[in-house]
Amino acid sequence: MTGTAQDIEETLFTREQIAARVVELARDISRDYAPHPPLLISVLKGAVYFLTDLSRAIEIPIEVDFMAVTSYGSAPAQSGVVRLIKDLDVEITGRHVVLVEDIIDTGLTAGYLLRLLQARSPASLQICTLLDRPRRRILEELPIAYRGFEVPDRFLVGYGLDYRERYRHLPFIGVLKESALQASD
Amino acid sequence: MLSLGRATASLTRGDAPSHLRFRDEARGIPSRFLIISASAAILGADGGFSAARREELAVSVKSSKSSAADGVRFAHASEAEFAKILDFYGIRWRYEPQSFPLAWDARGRVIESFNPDFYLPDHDLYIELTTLKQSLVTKKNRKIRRLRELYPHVHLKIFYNKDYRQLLLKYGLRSTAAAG
Repeated sequence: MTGTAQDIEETLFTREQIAARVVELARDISRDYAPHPPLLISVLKGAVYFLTDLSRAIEIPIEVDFMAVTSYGSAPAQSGVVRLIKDLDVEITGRHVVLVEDIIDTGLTAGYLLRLLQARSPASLQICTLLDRPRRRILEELPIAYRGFEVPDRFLVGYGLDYRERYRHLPFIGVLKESALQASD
Repeated sequence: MLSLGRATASLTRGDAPSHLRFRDEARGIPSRFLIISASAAILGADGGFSAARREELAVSVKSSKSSAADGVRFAHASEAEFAKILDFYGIRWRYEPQSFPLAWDARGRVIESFNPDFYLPDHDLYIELTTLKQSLVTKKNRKIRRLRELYPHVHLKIFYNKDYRQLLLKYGLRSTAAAG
């Protein structure tokens, strides 16, 4: 596992394809939220790349904020339940909120975040995800209003998506080689 | 008798039948009898269970086989890991709470059934983890097709070996993924 493009078996979405789709999503959000400028909430760390590009392409006033939660399998997760490790800096009560995700997979993380945010009584709460992998969805009832691409059940990295904290920086989204998944380092 | 079996099965969806089936199977009583008595527990009026007894059953169901992966004996390590993932994200689950009859003999006795691994009550969703070899998956797929024919209202999600392995890898659980 080199942590570089050498470990990529196939490019699924090029830098150009991602940029074009992000502009389309930004256009949709700009249209839908023109009367009510939204607060975009991103989940650290994976969605940061997407949020950065998306927010710069949106043509209406917006605000951004960040959250971070423990992930299953991570060291801080030993308590056995997901924990919020970085909360929002702003109040969302009465605000129109868009949760920006890099990928919705099982929907478990998004479901947790939605429960958390909904309890704070926003005026509206929708999801914008760059990638959607419905095949492994467990929580079906997520309010996904904007989705960039539907993706197959392969291990994807790049544009914020990582494997053991590597590959996030790649400007495209690719399928990680099996050899990289098996590598011990 | 076939229709009786199917009708009985549809009546057993819910907490009380699941609990009865598990508890009584542990006592060695054939499940086909228990499914019927469980249905009676739901119906109440002609089932011989008093309101107090039904309440007792409902209470004991809540404390059995429901979430907290540590307290359940799983058939496979992959199921235990999956339960922990659900617990981690606060998703309530039950382990193998329901048996769906798929085939009956001429006397109406269940000769084939399917027990999904998990039920998520808040999402009305059954989940089956299939970490078997491909040769065994074919047989399970046939049962799943039959389940969907007989119980079209049942929401079932299947995680095949590859799906589940990718999920574990996503969480950085390489050793568990390799074992699965």
